[in-house]
Amino acid sequence: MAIIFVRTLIIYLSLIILMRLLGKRMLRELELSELVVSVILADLAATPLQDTAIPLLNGLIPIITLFACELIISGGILANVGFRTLMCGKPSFLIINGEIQEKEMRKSRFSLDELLEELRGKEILDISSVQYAILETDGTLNAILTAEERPVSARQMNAQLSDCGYPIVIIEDGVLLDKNLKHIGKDSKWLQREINKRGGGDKKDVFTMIYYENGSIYFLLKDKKNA
Amino acid sequence: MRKVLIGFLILAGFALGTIYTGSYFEQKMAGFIDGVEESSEKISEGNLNEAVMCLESSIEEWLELERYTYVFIHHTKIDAVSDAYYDYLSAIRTSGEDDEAQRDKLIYHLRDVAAQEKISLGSVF
Repeated sequence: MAIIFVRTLIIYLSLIILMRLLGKRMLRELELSELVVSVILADLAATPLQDTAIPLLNGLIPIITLFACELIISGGILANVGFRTLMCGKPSFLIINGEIQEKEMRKSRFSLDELLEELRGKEILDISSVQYAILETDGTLNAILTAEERPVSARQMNAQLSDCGYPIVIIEDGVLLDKNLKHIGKDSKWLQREINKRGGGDKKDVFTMIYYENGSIYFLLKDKKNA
Repeated sequence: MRKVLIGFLILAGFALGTIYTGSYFEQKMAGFIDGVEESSEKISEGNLNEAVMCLESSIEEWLELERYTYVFIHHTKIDAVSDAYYDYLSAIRTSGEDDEAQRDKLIYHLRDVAAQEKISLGSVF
């Protein structure tokens, strides 16, 4: 028990340090500590299950220890900016005002090909149209276009657009979600009327029924494409 | 901050638990080793029956403890101790004399179980 506990702490801290040294490109979407936990957890849980001669506690202790470490690390990240920078690093500006920042690129171990690939993925072909390209701490690249290249918004156009509002699921795979029905201020009589109107007999025959805040309804019977 | 505190409490709980388990196993295994050595002394004094009884009671105690040890220690290690106990008992009964090799093997396995829960540079790495 003691050995497993100490080993888990050592492996966890070693992985944190190693992954931190490897840089944020290794992370992709997950924060550093989350990635470390996800890498170790699956294997830890599987080991005592595969070998019954190993006490189950040998699998549980490391998992709970990692959970405790993650609680401490994530709590520390939220509470302290310095600790957050230490654990997650800082975002790197790879492009500023259309200019590629070579030093940051090298520091982040990001090649020009990879940068262009990421930008192509965001339908950006002209680097000079990028005001900022930021490599976030979770490894994702975000690009912000210059003001003249940004899409025009409805507000800028003074356009009046209709908004269907927030969708609320009333029936999901034949199951009525009472709470949602109450939330929209309707009753079962209204629901039955709406189902009948759309050719359904019973709520059990309905695959999904979604109510939008503007009053419109999306309706689909089971095994039918009837919207 | 409550979550951080919970995290620290879990780690502290485990740390205390491991220290307690370590010292408990060390104490228990020392008791078993004493029992084996006592049994060996009784043989050298010519009290074979008492030696066998002493060893049998030690085995019983060990088997009772198995329920607890199975939770913490690799099962093959526990089985190795049980086998060594019965090998030693069988050797005494068969020959009517002390079997130094079987006794040392048993003591080695008992010490190994205690070492399982003891933190040292070698055991960790």
